[in-house]
Amino acid sequence: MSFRTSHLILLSLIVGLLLAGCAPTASPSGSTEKATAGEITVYTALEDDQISKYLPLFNQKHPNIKVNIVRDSTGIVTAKLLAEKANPQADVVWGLAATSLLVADKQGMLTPYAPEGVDKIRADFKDSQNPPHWVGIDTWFSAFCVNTKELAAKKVPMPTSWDDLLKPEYKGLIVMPNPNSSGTGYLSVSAILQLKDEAEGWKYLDKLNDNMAVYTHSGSKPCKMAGAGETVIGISFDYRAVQQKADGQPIEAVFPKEGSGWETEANALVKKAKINPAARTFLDWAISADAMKAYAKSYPITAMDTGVAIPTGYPADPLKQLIKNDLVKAAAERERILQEWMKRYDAKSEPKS
Amino acid sequence: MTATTPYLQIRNISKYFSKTAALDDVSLEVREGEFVFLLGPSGCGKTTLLRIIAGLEEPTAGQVIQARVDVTKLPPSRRDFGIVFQSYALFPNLTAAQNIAYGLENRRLPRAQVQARVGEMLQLVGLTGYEARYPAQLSGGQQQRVALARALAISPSLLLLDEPLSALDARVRARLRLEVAALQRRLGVTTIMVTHDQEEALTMADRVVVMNRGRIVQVGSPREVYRAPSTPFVADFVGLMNFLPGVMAAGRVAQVRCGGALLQVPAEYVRGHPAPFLAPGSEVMVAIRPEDVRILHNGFDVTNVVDTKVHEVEFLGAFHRLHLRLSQPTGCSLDLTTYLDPGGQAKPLHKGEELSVHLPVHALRVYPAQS
Amino acid sequence: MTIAYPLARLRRIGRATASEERLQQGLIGLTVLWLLIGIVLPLAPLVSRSLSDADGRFVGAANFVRYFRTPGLAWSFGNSLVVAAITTVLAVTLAFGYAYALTRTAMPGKGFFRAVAMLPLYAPSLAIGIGLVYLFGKKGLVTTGFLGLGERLLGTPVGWDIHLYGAVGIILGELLYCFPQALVILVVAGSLTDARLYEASHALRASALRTLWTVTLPSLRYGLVSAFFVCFTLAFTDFGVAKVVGGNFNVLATDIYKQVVGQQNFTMGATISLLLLTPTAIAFILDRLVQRKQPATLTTRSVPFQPKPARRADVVGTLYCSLIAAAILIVIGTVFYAAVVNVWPYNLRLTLRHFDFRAVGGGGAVAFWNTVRMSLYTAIVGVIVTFGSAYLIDKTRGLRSLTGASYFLSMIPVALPGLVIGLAYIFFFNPRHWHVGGLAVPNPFNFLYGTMAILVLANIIHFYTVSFMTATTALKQLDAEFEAVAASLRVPFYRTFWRVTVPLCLPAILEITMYYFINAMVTVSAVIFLYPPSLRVASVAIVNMDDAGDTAAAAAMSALLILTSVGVRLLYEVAARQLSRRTQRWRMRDA
Ligand SMILES: Nc1ncnc2c1ncn2[C@@H]1O[C@H](COP(=O)(O)OP(=O)(O)O)[C@@H](O)[C@H]1O
Ligand SMILES: [Mg+2]
Repeated sequence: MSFRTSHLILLSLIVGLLLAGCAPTASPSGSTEKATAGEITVYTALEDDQISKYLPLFNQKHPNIKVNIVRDSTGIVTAKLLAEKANPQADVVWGLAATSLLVADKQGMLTPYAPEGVDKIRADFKDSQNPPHWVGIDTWFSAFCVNTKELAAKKVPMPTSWDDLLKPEYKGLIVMPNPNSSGTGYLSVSAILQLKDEAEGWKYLDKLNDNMAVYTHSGSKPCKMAGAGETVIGISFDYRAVQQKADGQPIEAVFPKEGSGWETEANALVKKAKINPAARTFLDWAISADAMKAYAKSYPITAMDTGVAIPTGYPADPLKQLIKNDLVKAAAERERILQEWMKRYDAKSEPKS
Repeated sequence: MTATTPYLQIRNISKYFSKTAALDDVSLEVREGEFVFLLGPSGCGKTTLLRIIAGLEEPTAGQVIQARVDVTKLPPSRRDFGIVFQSYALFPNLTAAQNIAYGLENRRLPRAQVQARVGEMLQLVGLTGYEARYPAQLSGGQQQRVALARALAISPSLLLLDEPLSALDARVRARLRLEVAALQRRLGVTTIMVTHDQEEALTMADRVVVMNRGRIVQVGSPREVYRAPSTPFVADFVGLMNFLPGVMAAGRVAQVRCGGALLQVPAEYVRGHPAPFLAPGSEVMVAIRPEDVRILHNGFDVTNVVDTKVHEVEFLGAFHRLHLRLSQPTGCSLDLTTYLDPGGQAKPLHKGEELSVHLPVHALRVYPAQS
Repeated sequence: MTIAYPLARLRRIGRATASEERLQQGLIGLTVLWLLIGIVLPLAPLVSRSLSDADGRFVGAANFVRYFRTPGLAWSFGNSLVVAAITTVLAVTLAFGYAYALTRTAMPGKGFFRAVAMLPLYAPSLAIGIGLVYLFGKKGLVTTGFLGLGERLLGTPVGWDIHLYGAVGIILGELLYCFPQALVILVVAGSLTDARLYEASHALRASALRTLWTVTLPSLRYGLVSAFFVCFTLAFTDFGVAKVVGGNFNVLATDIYKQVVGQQNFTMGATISLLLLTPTAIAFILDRLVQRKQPATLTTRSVPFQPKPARRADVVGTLYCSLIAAAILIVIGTVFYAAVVNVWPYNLRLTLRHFDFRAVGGGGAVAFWNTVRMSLYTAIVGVIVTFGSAYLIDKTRGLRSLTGASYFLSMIPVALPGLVIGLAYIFFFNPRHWHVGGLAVPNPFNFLYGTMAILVLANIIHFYTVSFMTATTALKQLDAEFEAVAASLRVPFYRTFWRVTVPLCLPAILEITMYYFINAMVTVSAVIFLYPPSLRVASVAIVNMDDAGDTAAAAAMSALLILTSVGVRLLYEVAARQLSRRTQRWRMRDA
């Protein structure tokens, strides 16, 4: 499968720009020491059920390396990472939104490292510097999870677009993630602010807020709530919707007509006084063909051609679903947009957002 | 140890609990083998003094010298004494034998010796056969004896007893009084016992230390304390005493306030030896034990006769107690109590009857009046 | 008589005794030290953080001002107060009735009612929230009229939507969570009433209501105050229920969590912590003031009250207790049911698949075993440290200032919410260096951070006061002269401790062990900020699962925790009975 490169070129452009400020001080570490045994702490925002598929592959290959997973939603992993700047706990970041890694890198928290096989990763999926500061693995995008049974019971039509969600008949039936804690939440908000212009975008979000039952902390929870009938429409992301439908829940995966916001998940080595060599081993594995194949079973878009067919339930051409995402804007304005969002809608947010 | 050095010396001991003084400059000497009683009303500091001797309480000032060693700063575990508390403090989860053996077990004695010693102690207190009983399965008197045996098992040079009999009923108490006294004499162990029961002290003690409000007020043999109480407090606390307020007149005479009777008092108060000198005009209390008061049946011509009226007659089985009022009341009333010998008394006395009584000079004690 | 023993040997002063006194004084010093490290010192950085900005500059009350100026946050303080107040009144009232029935009527099945009422203690508060979700949530059993069953049977929709998410849900959940705690206190207070007062009241022909007013209530006064204090503190600081059923209704406990975990804003976390601490501290002080005046309700001459059968009171009592017991059983039962339903509410086939935690967050089975281990360590270390400290504080002669300080320190933890302990521990243990007045002091306790040890320490401190009071009460019942006698026999104190004190206090010791175990099994708040990634625990896993929307798995984990705790309790009862038969023979009056 191939990936439209324009977005990613853009992305790497930003990265270059962002890094320009601090690049001179970042002396590429010469050491590439690895290990076959040890214990590492990995921060990740990958889905739990994905980790449970991916990680055993690593464990099989390196049974003597104990991996302690700290998994949480994107915003929380990011916040934790940044908060621990003075005394980092993580050895490796695995599958975290690239925009988050850019922020961490800007604060000098990442160690450049070229994992084995990084040359096979598409240029637009990795940091342009050599050795790269981060390496991407896949892309995810927003989708609606709609509970068909509840929809029928409530006798309301199936929404097909972002604009549909403003209709009064959906009042109180929609749940979406809080962008402060959830990467999925942020890419949806960012998508709307880019699809419309900013003023229009906030107007849209105001109206959407009127229809919102609650903002959840995690990006997958709206979909799970929809699956359990606790809500009718959950604004979530592609993998979750497809997965739950396949699981037998009365879920329809809706990809909004206007297009979906998207983001790349990437890996990086955390800068520490003493780098654990097992961390490099892990990063090598995390972009190995085995791992990439596993990612490809979750997501249609990966950083490397794997030959794995697009999983059922996804649009035939997933790339078409992606909006034109100005990641310069998305990354640079992340802080401001989140603050603004908090001010407007935080009262409706469930704990931990 | 020479005979002249007391076994235990208590030197100027004071003890303050926050601001209140429980003991105020107390000094005392105890000879080896002596059975000394600390007697006084509740709260006067007896237990505190005993606990200071044991090292369970630290004195605010003063010294404790035991066997010529200053032990004031030593913890109890480094002193040489056995102790029995009012509660006995028997370990309820250990049998009588285990309780008695408790102090023997950690001194590397062969097991057989420990057992023999326990057997001997049980025999000593008359509890052979009760070794396997738990305290809850023993009577109060038996528990008391186990506690005594436990304290004696390590053969202490000093035995401290804090009201060991007061939790028992009267009958058992009376029997144990004799037993404990006999045991003490037999073992010859220096013993200090605390009690608020004057009868206990009088019957058992070699020497009685009467205490009041944190001070020692008199030290002496039971007889001395009873017959020659040094203060009205001792007089009142040990046995019964009648008091008549008065003023010293000229010569060997005190004038009693109520009724105006003139009483001759012993010469020593006027001589100032061995009793304190009482100047004419000083306020005094004239005291006499009830048993010293004599009833006059016919108007014998003797000194120190006062006229009274019977106010109350109490029948007490073996004897009567009369409550008398001085005649010619001048606004104040006071009681005289006397025993009435039932054998020698022909006609019974009734309330309101007039009665002259004789207060023998040698039986009178005179104290400076204190408000 | 002749004594054929080496008297010198009998009298010999044990060599150990010289250092013994010093040992005991050293130990009491250690007690003060560990209480300082466990309780007081960690609070210092918490306070200083709340008065500083993110970069550590002193800003005075600016954070508090900011808190109250942020509309979303400021509401939480009021919300917490209102919810806690309502819960407290309801819980104490309901528990009062229940305790009354248990201690003052002759209704049947008291053992059963007592056991059921205690059930919520064996569940994390999150589990109670989850039970409520499956009963009253959008797709709850009650909300949907038993998933449409009612409608099919009766022909009309019978669902009842109580609008769970928000204040209603929090109050319901906290009510269940606080009820047993209030009940324990009131039952104890209730069984301390002198029966002679009732006889007098009866003889005077006082009406039942008048007896309630003049005899029952006054005798329960101190118990009631304690129950109010405990319930208020629990409801005000609990995080689990609000997390699950709070919806958009923010409370302080969830705010702290939101600031610390969600935004990694430790400064605001510290600020809100102090706000959380203030009312509980005030309640604590009030309770202390009231309890100080408590006279001994039971004198040696008191007669314990034996309720006599009274038809109407017994029937009413049975009905009342049945209702409450049913409510508790239904909520807990629902957790179990939810744990085994395939896809709620669409596929009600039963399955055990939710007990396979591999596909959900939180650490799954490993987390469960970590919790069991942590609880075991907490119980064992906790009982040793607690009983040992209580012993030293009660029995050390002299050093009044040290023992007094230790006693005071031991009272503090009851007013410390778990979240506050957790956050304070991060500030205290995490830094490699403490910065004290511009000076970098190496932190000697840093090695504890991120280990099992710090989790155990946090748990012990969190549940310290109640355990300490249990130990102290047991110790105070012993003859105060045991130690004096032992000293006179020149037996070192530790020997007497082991041979006399411990056996005599065994029931209390076992009770404390159990208390620590059960509470460590279900606690979230003290450990949620502290657990390292290598040591995830089950109660936090429930939070994570609920966060991710994996409610069925959260229910399964809750069920597992409840089963384990109840199972351990049952084992304990059997073992304790066996043990006491062997070790408590001396309590029997007959030889
Ligand atoms: N530990 C203590 N703290 C404060 N006051 C005490 C203490 N022990 C004794 N006292 C006070 O010291 C005084 C003497 O007490 P105590 O020696 O027990 O008297 P006794 O044994 O003669 O009845 C009393 O007023 C008592 O209240
Ligand atoms: Mg006393």
